[in-house]
Amino acid sequence: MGEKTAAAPRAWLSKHSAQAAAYSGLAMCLILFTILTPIFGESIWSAQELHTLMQNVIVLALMSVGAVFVYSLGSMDISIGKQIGLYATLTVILGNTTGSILAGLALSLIISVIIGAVNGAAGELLHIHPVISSLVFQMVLSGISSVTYNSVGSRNVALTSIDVSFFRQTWVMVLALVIEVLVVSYLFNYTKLGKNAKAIGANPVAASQSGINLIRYKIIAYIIMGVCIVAASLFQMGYTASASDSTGTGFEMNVMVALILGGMPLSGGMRSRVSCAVVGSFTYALLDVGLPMLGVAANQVFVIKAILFLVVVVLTCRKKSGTLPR
Amino acid sequence: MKKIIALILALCMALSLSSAALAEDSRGTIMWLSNLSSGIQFETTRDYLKALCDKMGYQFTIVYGDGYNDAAGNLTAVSNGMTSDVVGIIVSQDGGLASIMEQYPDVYVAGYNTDMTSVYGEGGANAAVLTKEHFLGTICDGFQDGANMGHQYFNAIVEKGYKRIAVINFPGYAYPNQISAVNAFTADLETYNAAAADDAKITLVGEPLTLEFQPLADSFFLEDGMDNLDCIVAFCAGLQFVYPTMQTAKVNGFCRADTQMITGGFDNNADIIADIGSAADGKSIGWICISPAEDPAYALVLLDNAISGSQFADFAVERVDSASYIIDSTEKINAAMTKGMVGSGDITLAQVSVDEVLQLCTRFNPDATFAGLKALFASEKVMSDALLK
Repeated sequence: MGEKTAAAPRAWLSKHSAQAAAYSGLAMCLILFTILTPIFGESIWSAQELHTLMQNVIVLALMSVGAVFVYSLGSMDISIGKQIGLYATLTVILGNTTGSILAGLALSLIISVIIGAVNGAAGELLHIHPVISSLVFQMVLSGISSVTYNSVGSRNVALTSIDVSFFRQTWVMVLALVIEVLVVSYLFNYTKLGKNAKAIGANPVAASQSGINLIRYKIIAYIIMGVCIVAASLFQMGYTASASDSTGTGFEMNVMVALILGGMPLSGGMRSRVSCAVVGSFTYALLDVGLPMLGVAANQVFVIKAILFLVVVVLTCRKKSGTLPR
Repeated sequence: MKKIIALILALCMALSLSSAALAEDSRGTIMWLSNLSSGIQFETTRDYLKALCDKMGYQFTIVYGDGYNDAAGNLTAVSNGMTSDVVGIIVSQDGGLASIMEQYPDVYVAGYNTDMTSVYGEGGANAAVLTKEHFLGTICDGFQDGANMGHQYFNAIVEKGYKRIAVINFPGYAYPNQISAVNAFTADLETYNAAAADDAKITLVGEPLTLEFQPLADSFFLEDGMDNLDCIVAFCAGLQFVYPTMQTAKVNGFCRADTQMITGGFDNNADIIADIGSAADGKSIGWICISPAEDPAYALVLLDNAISGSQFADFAVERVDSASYIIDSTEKINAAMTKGMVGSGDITLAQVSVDEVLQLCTRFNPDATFAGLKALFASEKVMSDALLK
C-alpha cells in the first residue's frame, strides 16, 4: 500500500514531466520577478510593465495558440513569420487605400485559408514533410514582400488615416487572447478536430486505419493556425500602426521556442495542450520584460533565455528517444 | 528555515537600500537604442557614452534595436529596457520612433548615427515626431543628402586617379540616400568626362550593381571588364559585403591585384587595417569614410540641456551632417589606430574629451551655444587630419 502511494506521484511526474517543468518555470519566473523587481525599481505588476508584458506576449501567444493544432500533428510551419509580415503589410496598404482595415483583414483571411489548405494537403498528396511546403511559402512570401517594398520605395509603410491604437489597449489584448484560447481550447479538447489532430500526431497510420481523413484534418489544422496568424498580424500591425519588409522575421522560431518552453512535444500526439502555448509565451515574455528590470543587460537576456531553453529541453526530453522533447 | 528567511529578507533589504542610494545619486538614466551590438564602433561608443554619462551624473543603459530597423522590434527593445528613471534616449535607428515617443512622451529623444529618413523624408512613417517637443533632432551618419555623398566619392575617385571603376550600392527602398548618391556620382562622372581629355576620362564599367544585403557574388568578377578595374566604389558597406569577395577573386586571379575599393565604415580587423593605403604599396582599400567616433556626444549634449531645462537659446530641432573622417593612407590609418579613439577604442584619446563635452552643455557652461556645438562637430577637430598635426 505504502509502495503504491509513493509510486503514484512518481508515475504522475514521469508522465507529466514536460508540463511540470514548464509550469514550474513560469511559476519560478513569476515568483522571482514579483519579489525582486520592486527591489530594483518598479514592480513587474505596475500598469506600465503589465502593458509592456502584454505587448510582448500578445502576438507570440496568438500565433502559438493557433500553432498548437499544427504542432499536435507532429508538423510545423516556418512560413508563420512571413505570413505575419504579409498580412500586416496588406492591412496597412489597403487601410491607407480604403480607409478601413476590413479589406486587408478579409484578404488576409482568404490568403491564410489558401496557404493553410496547400500546406495541410501538400504533405499527404506529395508525400513530403509539411515543413517543405511551408518553406516554399516562406520563400514565395519573402519575394512578394521584397517586390512590394521595392515598388513602394521604402522599407516600411505606416497607416496614415486610421487610428489603430485600439489594438494597443491592454484590455483588448487580454480579451483577444482569452477569446482565442477559449475557442481553440474548445476545438482542441472537445471536438473531433482536436482529438483527430492529436491522434494523427500520435500515430498517423493508426489514425488513418481508424478512418480519420488525414488530409482533411491536416488542412483544417493549418487553416485554424492561419486564422490565428491573421489575428496576431492585426496586433503586430497595431503595435506601431506600421509594417515593414522585416515584420515577422524569425517569428516562426519564437513560436517553436515558446511551445517547447511550454512543454509541447515536438512530435505532437496526445500530450499536446493549448496551455503549452500560453505558458510558453508568458514565460518567454516574462523573461524579456523582467530580466532588464533586474538590471540584466539586454544582450545577456538572450544568453539567459538560451540557457533556460536548454534546461527545459534537457528536463523534458525522453531519454530513450533523443534529445528533443517528444 | 527561519534563518534562511531572515537571510533572504536581509539580502532584499540590502539590495533595496543600495538601489535606492544609486537612484538618489543619479540624474536619471540615458538609454542608447543601438544599431550595433559588437565591434570596435559599438564598443567605443558604449565606453565614450558611459564615461560622459558618469561625468554628467546619469546612469547609462543600452538596448539593441531591431536588426532590420523594424518599427515593432525597436519599440519592443525600448519598452523592455524602459524604467521609470529613463530621461533620455539616444536613438541610432529611426524605425518605430513615432510609436516610441507616443508611448514615452516625457522622455527626450536625440538621434546619433541615423539620418532619420523616416522622419525627414517625404511622407515619412515617423514624420509625426517633428511635432513633439521632446524630439531634439539628429546627427547623421555622413550626409543627410545622399547627393553629397555621391559628390564626395567622385572627388575621391578623381583625386586618386582611378580610370576604370565599378559602382555597388544597397537597394533604394532601404537606403534611399544611396540612390541619390549613385545618381549624383554618375552625373558628376558625365560632367567630368565631357570636359576631360581622352586619356583622362573615367570609365564606369557596367551598370551600378544593387546588392540585396548579400555579399558580392564571386561571378561579379567574371563579367565583362570587371577583372580589369582600378577601383570598386562601394556605397554599400564595402568592408563587409565587397572586400572579402574582392580578396578571394584576387587570390583566384579573377581580379587585378591592384584593384582598390573605396567605401564607408570601419573595421579594426588587423588584416583590413593592414590593407589600407595606396595601390602602389599593394593595398586594396584606397579610401574609407566614417563618421567621427565623438558624434554621440552631440546627441548627449542636447539631451542634457533638455533634461536640465536649459536648452541652448539658439536651439532649433535640426538634422545635421556628420563630419567626414577620411582615412586614405597608411599614415592616417596608423594615426587613427594609435592616436585616435576611432581606431584604438581608447576614450582618453577622444578628439573631443569628456571635459570638453561638459563645456558644450549649458549646465556647465552658460555661454554654450547650439551654433558652437554644430561648428565643433563639423570642424577639423573631429576629423582625421587633426591627428597628423
